[in-house]
Amino acid sequence: MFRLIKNEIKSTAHSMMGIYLATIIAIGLLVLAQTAKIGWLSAISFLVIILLAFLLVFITIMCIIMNFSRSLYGAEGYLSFALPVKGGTLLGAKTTVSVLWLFVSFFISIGVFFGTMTYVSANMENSEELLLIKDLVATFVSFPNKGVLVVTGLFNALFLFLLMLVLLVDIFFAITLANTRQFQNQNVLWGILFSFIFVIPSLVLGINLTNRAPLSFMLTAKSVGIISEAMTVPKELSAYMPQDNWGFRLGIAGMLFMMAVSAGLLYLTAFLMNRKTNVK
Amino acid sequence: MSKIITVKNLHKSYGKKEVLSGVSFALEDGQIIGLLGPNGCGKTSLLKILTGLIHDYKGEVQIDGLPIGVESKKLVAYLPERSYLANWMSAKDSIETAASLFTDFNRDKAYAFLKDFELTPLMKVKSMSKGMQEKLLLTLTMCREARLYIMDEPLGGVDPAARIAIKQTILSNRPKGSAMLISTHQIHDLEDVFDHALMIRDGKVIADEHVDKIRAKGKSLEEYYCEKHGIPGFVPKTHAQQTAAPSGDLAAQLEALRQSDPEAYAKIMQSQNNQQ
Repeated sequence: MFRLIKNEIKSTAHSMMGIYLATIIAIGLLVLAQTAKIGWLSAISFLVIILLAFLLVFITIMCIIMNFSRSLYGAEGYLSFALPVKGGTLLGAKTTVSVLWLFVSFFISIGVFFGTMTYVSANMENSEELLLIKDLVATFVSFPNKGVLVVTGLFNALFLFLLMLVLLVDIFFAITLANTRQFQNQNVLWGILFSFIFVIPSLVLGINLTNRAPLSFMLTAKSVGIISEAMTVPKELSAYMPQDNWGFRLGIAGMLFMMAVSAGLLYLTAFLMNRKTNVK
Repeated sequence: MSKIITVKNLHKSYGKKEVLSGVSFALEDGQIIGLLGPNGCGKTSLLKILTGLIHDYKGEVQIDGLPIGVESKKLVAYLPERSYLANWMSAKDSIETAASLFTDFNRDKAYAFLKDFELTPLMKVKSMSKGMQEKLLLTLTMCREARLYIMDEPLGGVDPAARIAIKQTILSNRPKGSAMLISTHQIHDLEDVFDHALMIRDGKVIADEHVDKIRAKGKSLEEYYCEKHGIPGFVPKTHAQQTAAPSGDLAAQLEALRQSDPEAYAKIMQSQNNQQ
């Protein structure tokens, strides 16, 4: 498994590094333009960075899908499926590395967005962006204590991880199902159709269960526990924020649902890989 | 002698079209077996089933007594008809990848092969010709210490000099006791190599015989193939032709190459000396 993961990182890094390199170049140009006070270059590089920050996760998902499809059901599948490993092991390595890239892209995206806004705003006194960033920092500082902050961060990271995992596993299952005999002739078309069929209900159900099901994880400065109440937040965005001074609450029914969906779909995908798929 | 491949009542369909229809055979270990048949007769499907690339088939398939799975794949080195190498890879990348994925891969031998094939380690796959890619894939296959080598059209689409070099490499680097299953419709080029011939037509086995037995009937393998496939225009050779070296004889091919392309001939001989 470790060898497969190492090899998977090496083979996917090739396409991922291009996106990160583009971001680094845009940042370099922005810094250069700001230092040399070149207005037009500064504006263009700022726009490119913000665009990349928004598109980074989307591009990463597209790269992951293409890598998965090509390395299993394209020409490279001749090597992948001839390896002396079970389909589940192959899938496990690909899923692990895909989630890793998605995480990296997500954090780079957030970091680049806020970093760039801060850097650019620093040159403008009392800009709206700077005030927004200051408010955001103040929100985090208002946490009851450091422990709550850490647990909140971990819990949100887990929530985010599960969202990404469900998204990827849904797509992997859709692509694999599209490469079974019945659908193989139009595998791209079926792959896209199946992706929509599986991804949308999984994510909608997962998020709704998180927000509305009466099962929440509650954390205050004095206690931690599970309560049979819904998360009761006015907006979905609030799921990532502390609600008030008494602590933090996050619905866990959605997380349990997403774990079950991920495990079930990984099992089914491995089953199809071992029994039903054909490499063209 | 034990059976390296056993296939019983194998069926494989693509939609309504059945490409393998009740195929059964058992092949002895330690031999070079020619899987012969025209395009579209089911050769590649059979090889894909043996290597675990196709999963939806009916029937029983075993390699060295093992069903197709993790354990059987450990015994098999596979050279597919098409390249599985990513374009961004260099020859070195592909060797290192193979070395990291297969415990029986001999890295030093692979680099020696590259040198013999005049491929530089940093050469990218995308800049390689079809013949060069074929040589690299052959390197990745033959540098494994496998029990069974499965090769799908190893000479397809390459020039005569490359064909001879590939053939030479296959013959001189096969580990003792290992078996080879080579699919081809270019019988002429590999006729002298095979110990056993398995002929397929329209998804059915039409011949499963030792090549010696075929020759004992006074026929070359190519003639027997034409006869079995009912190819029109087949003219039996004269006795003199029959007793001469088979048309696919390696020595005859080398001699022809020496006369037509002395430079390519010299390179192949040099490569053979290095490999020995």
